[in-house]
Amino acid sequence: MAISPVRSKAAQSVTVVLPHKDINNIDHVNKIVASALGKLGCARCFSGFDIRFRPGDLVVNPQTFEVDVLG
Amino acid sequence: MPGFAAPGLGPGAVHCEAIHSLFLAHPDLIRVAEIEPSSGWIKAPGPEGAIRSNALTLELVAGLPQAKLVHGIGWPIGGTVCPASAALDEQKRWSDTLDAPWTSEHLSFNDSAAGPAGFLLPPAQSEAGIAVAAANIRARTAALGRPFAFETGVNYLPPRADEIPDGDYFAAVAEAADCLILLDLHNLWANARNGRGPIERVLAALPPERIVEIHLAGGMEKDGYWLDAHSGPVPPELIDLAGDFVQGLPNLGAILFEISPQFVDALGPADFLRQIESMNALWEQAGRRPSSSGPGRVRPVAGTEAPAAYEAALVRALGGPPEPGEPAAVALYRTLVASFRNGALADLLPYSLRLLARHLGEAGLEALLAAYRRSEPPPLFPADEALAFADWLRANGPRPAYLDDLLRLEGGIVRLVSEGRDGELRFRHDPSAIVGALAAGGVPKDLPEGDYCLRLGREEASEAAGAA
Repeated sequence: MAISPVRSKAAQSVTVVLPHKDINNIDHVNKIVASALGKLGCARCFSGFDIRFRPGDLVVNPQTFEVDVLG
Repeated sequence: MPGFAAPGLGPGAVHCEAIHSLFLAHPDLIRVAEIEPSSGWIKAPGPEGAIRSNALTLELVAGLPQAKLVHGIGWPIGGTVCPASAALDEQKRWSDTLDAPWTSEHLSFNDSAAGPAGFLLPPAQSEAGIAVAAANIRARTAALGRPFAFETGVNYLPPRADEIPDGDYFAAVAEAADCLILLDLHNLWANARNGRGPIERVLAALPPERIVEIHLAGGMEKDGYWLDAHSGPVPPELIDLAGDFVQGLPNLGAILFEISPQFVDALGPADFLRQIESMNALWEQAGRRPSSSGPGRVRPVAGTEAPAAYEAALVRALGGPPEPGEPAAVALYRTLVASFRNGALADLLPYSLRLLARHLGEAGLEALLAAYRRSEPPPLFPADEALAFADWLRANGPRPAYLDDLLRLEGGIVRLVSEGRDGELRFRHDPSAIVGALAAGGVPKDLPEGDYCLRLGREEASEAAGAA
């Protein structure tokens, strides 16, 4: 069993436990948990264009499944 | 509230984690920290989900050496749908703990009889609209138990012949509610640039003794509009205008620079501190000139539109598909709402979106997200957005291999953390292998099936004591 505490900058804390060893890379899971912890609050005060979603980061060639652009 | 003498807190900035260290390192330069509590709140899923905040987060900002102000974001006071939410209990707790001399919220609306808007929108500038806002402000002031200032909002819509001019509207609301004003000069500057008339005309209409706080920020151009994007330094012309105007403000308590966390890195710490130096220079000029007597009692002479009907019509227009001949500002607002909603999904379901992009391509993903937005109303909290999209996707979206496991992982994390409970997530494939492949720029292939499991548990010591 692997136990890994994850703490965001906002000091919210969660413990990730893998009861079996069949999940290979707990770091990948921890990064997703840590990222989510700091992003659950309301959006900040501004009335502009939100740049968090950047389609260019996500683009692949659907024929080859190769990444055309990756931010 | 003419009897309220604002304490002279001084120059400062709106606080966020990305610049926390600068607040600690430069308390003499940054004398005020404005806190936006709801940016750190966590809400349980669903419309009535309880709101809670983390005790350590509140301790973190309470420990700052600056004086604190508390600014609301999600519960504006300009519209007809303005419920006394449990969020106000949490806002009051933060305001009390941080001993904020006054609190503030936006003179805008983000909910309506036609549903939520997904953005702060300009309220109806009519006599009925003034009465609505004044009643909301009186209720909010009572709920929060301290002096209240409304923020003068940005308005991308063109001026209308049947509405009260901006400055007269702000002044009338302040007088009717007997409240304070948070003068966002960049909002008004953007309004002027976008065709709502000279900013000088708006400023001349405001009662100077009610202005206790000023916001300044930078912006950007998009689709022919100047956006209140908080994306960089304050335009020099606006600094000059502010330097002249603050001299006639006898009751000013704070001048704050705003920068969005998304643009902190682009601005950089040195330029951030230069902006704070500008706020300090402005502060030195505040109140130097004897105040004029002000505009006197405001007597609006126009404005007949019923607020509820106006709000619902605007929200319906933003929620629907583009219409031929619709005002450019409506198209802009629709774009901005979409960017916020997409941003919430990119934050909380990044790998699910990335897998969908691999499967659909950029245009296909955009079309899928647009279909989702037309189907589901915009929730206030990003966790609700992420969970709604995951549910909608399971029922309506494509099913590329491994998407179910990714949604179980990312959606499951969001749900468990939002609910504040321990829980177990199960998968048919190793989720770390799926994420690893996508993170490396590839796609997961030929992963063995099995019964994969992880558990999430809270660290009890860090949870807030004051759940709403």
